[in-house]
Amino acid sequence: MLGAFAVGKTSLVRRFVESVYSDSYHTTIGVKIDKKIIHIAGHKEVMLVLWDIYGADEFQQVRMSYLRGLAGCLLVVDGTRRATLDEALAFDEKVRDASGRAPSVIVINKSDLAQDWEVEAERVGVLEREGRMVVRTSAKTGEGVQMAFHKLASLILER
Amino acid sequence: MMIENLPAAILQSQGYALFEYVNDGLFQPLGQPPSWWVEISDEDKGTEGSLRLAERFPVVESFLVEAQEFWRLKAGGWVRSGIWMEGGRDRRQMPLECSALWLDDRRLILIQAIPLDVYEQQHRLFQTARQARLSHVVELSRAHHQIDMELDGRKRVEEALKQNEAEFRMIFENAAIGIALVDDSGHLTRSNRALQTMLGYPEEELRKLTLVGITHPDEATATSSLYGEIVSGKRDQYQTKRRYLNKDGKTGWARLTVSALRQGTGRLQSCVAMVEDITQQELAEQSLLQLTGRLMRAQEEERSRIARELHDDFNQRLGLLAIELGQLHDSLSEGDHELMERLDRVRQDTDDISENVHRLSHNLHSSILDNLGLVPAVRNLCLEFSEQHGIKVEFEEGKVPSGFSSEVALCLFRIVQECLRNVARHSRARLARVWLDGDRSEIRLVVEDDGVGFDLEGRQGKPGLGLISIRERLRLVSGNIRIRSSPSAGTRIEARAPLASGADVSRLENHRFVSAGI
Repeated sequence: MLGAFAVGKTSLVRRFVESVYSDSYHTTIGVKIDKKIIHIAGHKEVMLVLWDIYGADEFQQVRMSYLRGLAGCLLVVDGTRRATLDEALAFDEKVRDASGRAPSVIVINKSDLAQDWEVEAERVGVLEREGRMVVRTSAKTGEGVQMAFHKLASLILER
Repeated sequence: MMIENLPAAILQSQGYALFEYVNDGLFQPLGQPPSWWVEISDEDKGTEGSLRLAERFPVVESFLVEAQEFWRLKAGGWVRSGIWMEGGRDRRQMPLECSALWLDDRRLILIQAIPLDVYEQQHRLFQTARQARLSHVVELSRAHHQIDMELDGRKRVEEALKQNEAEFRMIFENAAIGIALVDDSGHLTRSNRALQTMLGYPEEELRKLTLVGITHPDEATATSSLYGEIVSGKRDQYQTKRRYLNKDGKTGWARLTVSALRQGTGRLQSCVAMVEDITQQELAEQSLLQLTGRLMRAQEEERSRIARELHDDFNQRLGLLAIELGQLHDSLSEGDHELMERLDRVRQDTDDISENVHRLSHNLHSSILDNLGLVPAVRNLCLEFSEQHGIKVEFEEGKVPSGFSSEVALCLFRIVQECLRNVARHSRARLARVWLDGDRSEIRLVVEDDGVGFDLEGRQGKPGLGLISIRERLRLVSGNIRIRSSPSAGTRIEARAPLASGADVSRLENHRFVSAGI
């Protein structure tokens, strides 16, 4: 899980793993490891080891060692903060440097606040036309969350 | 410092679990593990024997890449993995951190359970700082969003303006009629190709000219006056017909429309002058007018000739015939009563025919008009009409100017004839009134009746031949007509003809254009 701080990485993991959500912001320090077994069509059970990595800012920079050897990543964006898309795409570059072309899914979170979204549909359209996988999610309502993780797992297995 | 010298008690008190890297991902525990180790370790048997730490801890697996590099360099100090949270057997999350050391040629890994109070203190600091930063970022983001929206709005307005400008330029440049932007001094600051072609000047030279400058000298004063009214705000638009001079000195005709472009304060920004070249149309109209004039004159000459024939020949012969009949009557004996009565009737019929021929001759050509002038001719016409048709006609004479041409006199006389003929044929009037008046510049004729009137709207589209004739006659003398009529409310026809003639007619024609707002 990569992205700027407060985009909802931990909330997405909690929604996915524990099916819970909390409105209050609880910053992550370091890395939180979670695991979840899922079923992907055509495959047996797959265990996802989820690295919920803290949001990068001036207080904490993401260590490159975390990115080495990753199988895939969810690049999490806060739909209400346009700059977080740029930060997510910058992470994508770092992942490429550290792990080559690992599959990724761009997750635009907070779809429950769609009326306040700053991320333009045109820009998302451009990413999709470039072949990027984009999923709109809401950790609050659960919309798109399963799809995002399952899509990433499928992409990893397809490699 | 030898690793064996590190007191196990110190390590335990600091919360460290110590391992030596053997090879192939195997680690050998050193000393007694701390109490928390049992909570997170999958090894029921504790640390006896080698462990595969990377399999248990994904973070350690990742960190080992960094540690291997560190050990290869055999550098002093240590590298750390950073904090990670690990779930214990009771699912309680425990903050851990891993360090790699190179000590006495041995590759060591220390795993430390961060004391919860230390971790929570650090978390509180980060939480406070990030929450503050988040509020700031959100506000900043909203501000950026607002600015972007405003910029987008401005961009849209600018694009719309650009499009309007492009459309205006296209219309301006490709219009079939001449268009110019005129400043408050009357200079043609911008002009299109059509105007440049019409006047024969390139745009640079036109910029130095004014609206008055390109107007025919006879009409320069009128142009200056009207444009002055635009500049002063007295009017926002005018339309007129003007003669213009092109670069070769040739005169053309144009229909000119000048409209003011004003700022919100009402101050004149510039004017748009639209100049339609109507020279060919004007020349055609003038030719038609001349032709009509020639036809009318020919008609009048023919009428005059027929009137003379009727008066000088037929009427004289009828007169002689009547005398002879009288003499024949007188020569008869007293006993020829029957023949005498028949001769009386024949002579009376001859007198009646003579009277009719005389009237016809008079209608065709009024000798009174020729010899005594318009006013006596019209007065006599009214008298004759009353007698002939039994409709009372009042004639009034105002200040009728002198010095008008015979063409104007004949024109007005024929109009009175036509109007009275219409009164007799259509109006069912009991009273008609003919009024002649004028001043130093024009002569006015009014013919009105108290008859049934007619629907002016219905007639405007297809005027009768009489009205067409009246209009044509007036056009020849640069006059105009105004008709007021409605069902059951009588009819009033007012004709005006200027006293001036020849070269002055065109000036008056222009005056009429402006007045009528054509």
